[in-house]
Amino acid sequence: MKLSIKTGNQKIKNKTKGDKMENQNSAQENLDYIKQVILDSKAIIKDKGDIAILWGVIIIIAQMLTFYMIRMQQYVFIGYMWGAVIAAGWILTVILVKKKDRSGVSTYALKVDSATWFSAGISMTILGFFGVYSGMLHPYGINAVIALFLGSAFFITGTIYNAKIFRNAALGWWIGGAILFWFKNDYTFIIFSILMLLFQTVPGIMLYIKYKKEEAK
Amino acid sequence: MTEFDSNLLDELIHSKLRLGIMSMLVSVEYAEFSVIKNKLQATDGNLSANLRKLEEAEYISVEKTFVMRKPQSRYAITDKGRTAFEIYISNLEKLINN
Repeated sequence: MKLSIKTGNQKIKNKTKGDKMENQNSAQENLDYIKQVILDSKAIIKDKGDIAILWGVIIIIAQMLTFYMIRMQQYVFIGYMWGAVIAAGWILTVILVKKKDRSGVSTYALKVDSATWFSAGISMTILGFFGVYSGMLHPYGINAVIALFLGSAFFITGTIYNAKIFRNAALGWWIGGAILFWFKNDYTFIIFSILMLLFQTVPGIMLYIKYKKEEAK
Repeated sequence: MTEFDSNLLDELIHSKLRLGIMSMLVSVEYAEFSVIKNKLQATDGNLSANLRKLEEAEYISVEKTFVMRKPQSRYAITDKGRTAFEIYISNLEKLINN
């Protein structure tokens, strides 16, 4: 009898040599089926790129406002503005993550990716506020350090999902971070905005378009 | 070479739906009932019965929660289930290479 996957009460029998080839084929079919289900399951979770776009857009706005406020010598508002922007970013992120949780499935890759970005986000928030307001870090130097954090986080995401787009973004952030160390002036905010657009917002938009296309299929 | 005895294949896993469930759960952290149902295109009754069999064998675990007052069952593979699945695959490979 053929070694097919049991349906109902069918028993497995594989005693005659004549069935051997057929059983081997059936075993191969089973392995192929397992492989297909595993691949399909891993593909259930798709990054929409929405969180990347969200942070990309709000940070670009905040960086441009910082540049403008420094030029206008409105230093006192910069801290409040960043406080409001980062708080809004975190609240919206929590809402988007909660929405993702309702997808009904989670993978280990997603767990590691979420942990990476959560820890990087917390570190960058502490660095941005405590680092600058304690006077330990110069405001012009903060963007370079943040860029390196983003490079590491993007590289981990790119490695987990085997996504070239994120690994390239990581490279962009690292090169950008190295360049930013040489800009000890207001233009650090402009350059960081450009990096944010190229290596966060654009990859986010590309992911979103890809997600929508696949959803429409 | 000695003939591989296909009776060594774990009968609990060796059914299309249960094999699908195990294959799916081995690759995720957890999956809800509705997700498994959609992915494997199973009926509620059939899926419930097969999930119960795997649960009774302690191959999978279930966590029942309420999300927005709606009951949700999250299924995950156990260590025992993972080991059984690995043995099952290893036996399939032995059968192919026999």
